[in-house]
Amino acid sequence: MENISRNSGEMESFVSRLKKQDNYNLQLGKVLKRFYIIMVVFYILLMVVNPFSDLSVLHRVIGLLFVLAFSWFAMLFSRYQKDFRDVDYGLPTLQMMQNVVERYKFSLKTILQLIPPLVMVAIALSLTVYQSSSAANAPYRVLMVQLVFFLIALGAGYAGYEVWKVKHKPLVDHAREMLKELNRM
Amino acid sequence: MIEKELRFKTLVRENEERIRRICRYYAPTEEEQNDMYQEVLVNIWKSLDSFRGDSAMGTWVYRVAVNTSLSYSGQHYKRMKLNVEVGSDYLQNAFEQEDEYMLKEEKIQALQAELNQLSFIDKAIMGLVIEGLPTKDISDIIGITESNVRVKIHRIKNELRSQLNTNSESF
Repeated sequence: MENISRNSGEMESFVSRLKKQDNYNLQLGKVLKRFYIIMVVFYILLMVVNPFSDLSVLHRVIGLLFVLAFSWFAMLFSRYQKDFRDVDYGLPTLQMMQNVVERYKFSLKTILQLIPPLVMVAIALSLTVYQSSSAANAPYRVLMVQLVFFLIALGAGYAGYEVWKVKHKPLVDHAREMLKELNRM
Repeated sequence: MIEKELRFKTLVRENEERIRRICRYYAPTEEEQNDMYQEVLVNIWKSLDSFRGDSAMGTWVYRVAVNTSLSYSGQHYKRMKLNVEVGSDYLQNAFEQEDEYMLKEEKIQALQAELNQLSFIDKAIMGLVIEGLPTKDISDIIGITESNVRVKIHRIKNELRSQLNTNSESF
């Protein structure tokens, strides 16, 4: 590993790498934001507004639900990214450790935030199946699609929990241990 | 960006030695010290925009260095050791005159071994004491009250004294 010293040109190259990384993050953030906005507008025009197609009201409602759900996911993802990127190491250790626990803990709030878009996708899927089914088998097909979606969501949730347990739980435990120490006289 | 670069370079130039010392306390090998040093610099760069000047720049640098070493130790914390160089002038900062016996050459190794039995936070506090920081600054860095810092330092020193006495009696 290189030894960065104030007396060498390595500091220059180190700073230039830091600036490059900052620019990259900034550009990536901007590109992703633009991409999301363009996609949202595109899908609203295609699936909700679309004056030239023979889309029924039900189709438009389904389109709107999908657009809203994915916008919601994109918003949550971008906030999650921001939280991880903007870690302030200049805070007092106590506050920093409290922030670590807050950032990495498995919280009910995060799960609750995921419920509305999941419900929107579930409704949109059910409506999609419903409008393409006959009156006789519609309830059965809707129930099946709900069941499959629920199992997939549950599986994804479990996988997320396992990832959290391996990657983030040790950090939370370590920070909690330090907080306990800090609060002990 | 240019202003940030200037601030960063000035800050690193003025604080290089103290950052390196903090890294030496926690990372056992030269390679790990350099890795940690680089990580501290990255975190100084990342956190520089949020520095509002509500604490002295030196205290802020210590905060970043200590928080980075504690987080770095979060990844390697099972191996984390407080490495105080034998004969280090800084070690004198940690103990008062009545503790002179603790600073004798033959006791230093034992003292270092005992320092490494301390918990992470106690090690971090002792690291700052060894650096010669006043209680007020340690309290600003760690985020607990001055009286709490004083109580902790008093307790740690008592533990060290009693451990060293027990060890020397057993020989």
